[in-house]
Amino acid sequence: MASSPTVLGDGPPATAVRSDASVAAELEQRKIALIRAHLTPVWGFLRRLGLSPPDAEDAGQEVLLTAVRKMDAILPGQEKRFVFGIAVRVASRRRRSTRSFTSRAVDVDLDTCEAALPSSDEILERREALELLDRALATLNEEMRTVFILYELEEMSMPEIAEVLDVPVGTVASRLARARDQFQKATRRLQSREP
Amino acid sequence: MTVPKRLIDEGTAFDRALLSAGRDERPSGDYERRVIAAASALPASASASAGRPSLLSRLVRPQYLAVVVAIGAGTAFLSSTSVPRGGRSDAASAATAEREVDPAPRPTTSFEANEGALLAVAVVATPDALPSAPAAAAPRASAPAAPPSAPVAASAREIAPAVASGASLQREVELLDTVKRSLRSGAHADAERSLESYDAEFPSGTLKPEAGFLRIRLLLAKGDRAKARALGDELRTRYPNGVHARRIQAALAADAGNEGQDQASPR
Repeated sequence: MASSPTVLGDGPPATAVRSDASVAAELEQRKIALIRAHLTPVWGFLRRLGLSPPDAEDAGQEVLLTAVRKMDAILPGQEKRFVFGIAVRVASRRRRSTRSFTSRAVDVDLDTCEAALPSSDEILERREALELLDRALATLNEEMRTVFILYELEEMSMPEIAEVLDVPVGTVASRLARARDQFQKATRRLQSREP
Repeated sequence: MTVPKRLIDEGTAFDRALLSAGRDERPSGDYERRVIAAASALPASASASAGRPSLLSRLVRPQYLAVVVAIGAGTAFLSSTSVPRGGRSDAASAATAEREVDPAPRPTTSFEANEGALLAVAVVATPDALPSAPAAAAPRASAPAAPPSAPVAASAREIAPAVASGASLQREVELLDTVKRSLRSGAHADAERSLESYDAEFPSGTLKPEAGFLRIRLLLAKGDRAKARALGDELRTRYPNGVHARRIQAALAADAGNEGQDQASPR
């Protein structure tokens, strides 16, 4: 009986190899798309929750690698909810177990100055604005802060936030109302102190 | 249920400015590339190939496994002696997150038990080979390979061409932060020394206007109002717009107010 090249040795048939290669390439593209779409927003979310820039990079990578591992569990259109759900849990764990959430959190990472170097005024204004923002956010407790950031900065809807946090929409609405009130009071206080 | 309008659209100008600054902040330039490299080193997920023999399972044959375990053990040892900031998340964080965050735990294989250590090797060896690496990262491809225990992020930053200006800016910020701390604690001589160091190191520094403003604060703190005003006038002429001019004006005005109160108050 003539032997086919595809059955030589103990490897899989060539057609199966091609199929696996195609699946692997598709998976690779999905991974990259997921990371590109969500890495920077997740990093920003973690920064506003109080992590320093380097800690937010570590935590953000942890979040995205977890999401990539679980990619097959993500329903189409649910990527953002899934990734931010992981981010909330990673942030909460880090808050409990590390010293990431310290005054370093308001440091501005000068490595974020991309491309052309900004002017002194721009650096100062950016730095001051971020410091003031983080000071205002620091007046909120963890629950309110999370809801506030997801709504105001990540522009999620209240039902989406409810899914991310696994709480009723009414709870989200209540936390958001209190958070907005407290944030605005804080910014008014900060503004009155600014020259 | 009322859906409130977002403050970033409808809040006060101050609220909008703060929220915009937060929304616009970005991580370091090569962050995405590093994370993609780490993700590319991950094996195909178990659920992706459920119901048929996976590519991974066919690759993990005894002869390969021996090599894998040897590399894994070696890397695990190296990792235990050095925990780099950027490199930590390449390997350990994925495994940690899997254990601590994973909403649906699944059985692990012996291969996966070594996975964390394997990732560290893969990340160091492969990021620049990625087809998805951004163009800006291209020059790094020719850089010498870092040893397995070296922090990936740190090595990338050492090579990045933009870092020289970033590092020098960092030094400027550090010096001026020292001045601010000294001013806050009333250590005027220390503040002056730091300002002199700044002037010597950065005669044309990016933060020169900020240094000038701090010198005005120092002069005012020392009671040398005439020099402070003269310097303030000079700086406001040189930098008429922007935050520095406003801050200088505010500092001088506040001092003038204090001076008025001092003169008016009975002794």
